[in-house]
Amino acid sequence: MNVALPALIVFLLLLPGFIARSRFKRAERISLDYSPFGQIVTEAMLWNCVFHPLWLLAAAWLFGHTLQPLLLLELLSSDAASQAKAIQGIALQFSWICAYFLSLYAGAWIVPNGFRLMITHYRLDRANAGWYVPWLRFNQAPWYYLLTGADFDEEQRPDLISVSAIVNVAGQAVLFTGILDNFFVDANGSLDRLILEKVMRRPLSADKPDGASIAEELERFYVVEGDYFVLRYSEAITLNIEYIRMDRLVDDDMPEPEPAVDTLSEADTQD
Amino acid sequence: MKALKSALAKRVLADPSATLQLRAYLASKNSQPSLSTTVATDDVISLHSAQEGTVLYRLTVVPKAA
Repeated sequence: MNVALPALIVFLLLLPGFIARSRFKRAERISLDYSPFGQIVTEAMLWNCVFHPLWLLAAAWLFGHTLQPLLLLELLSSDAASQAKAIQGIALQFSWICAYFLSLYAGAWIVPNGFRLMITHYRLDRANAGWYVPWLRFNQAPWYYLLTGADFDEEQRPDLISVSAIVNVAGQAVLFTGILDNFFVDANGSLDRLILEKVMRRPLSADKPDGASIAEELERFYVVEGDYFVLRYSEAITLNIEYIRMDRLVDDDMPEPEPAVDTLSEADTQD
Repeated sequence: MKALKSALAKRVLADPSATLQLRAYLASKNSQPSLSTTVATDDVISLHSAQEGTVLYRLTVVPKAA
């Protein structure tokens, strides 16, 4: 069996960059990476320019093993005699070279994951975080920014997300509204389904009559029983997203919203 | 992926009474017929806990971050 040794060596050398690139990016699609080929290779090469020098420095400083460029060039050459000579040289240091590449691949997986977690934890990628945002923002994850509140400043961050969707049910447009708990994207990065809780529904045609009281408004809604409501994005005609914030009141003179609760409870029992 | 939900929101959703108030708020908010005839609906919910007693929270819709 013939093995294209130079190609194999180049692959082993470049692999850490591709690993690091894939672990650093937060992409919502998982089946295919539609990034331009040039961008993929450039990013991988940049990661290689970081990892290889770091590992070579560490190997030289900690263990006294330095890169032997002549050996590497002989491995990549097409001359069989030079390759054979280089292979013998590699065989003498096989354990060290294996340790170098295995630790490099592990580092290329762990370090970018750590960076990504740090960016997410400290929210360095939110839209108005600073001048460095274009480099840290995960541009292939629009739903992540829309539905996790990652773009909000800490002091302006809402407490929950309300979702209202119009769904065609047996030829009738029905408005579903509830609190967003979870969401999933499909392999292409499109929103697949939303998991809602505390869901209510009403026919879209049952709009509020003029001059209706709050009690009359609420009577039109029916509570959807169950812990979670799965809404497939493909079945939603329109989707409305609202960020809701709950601010603690310091004044105790605000009226209790008991009448509205009673009315909704009555509607629940009628469902 | 988990959506945005603060610890306070989880407490509200775990409390049946507060949940009903939240539902009432959502229902009334969805019922506003037009901007010109917006009715001032009750946007305050109460949450009871053993530590803090009954605490009032005002619900507001915040615009999306830039």
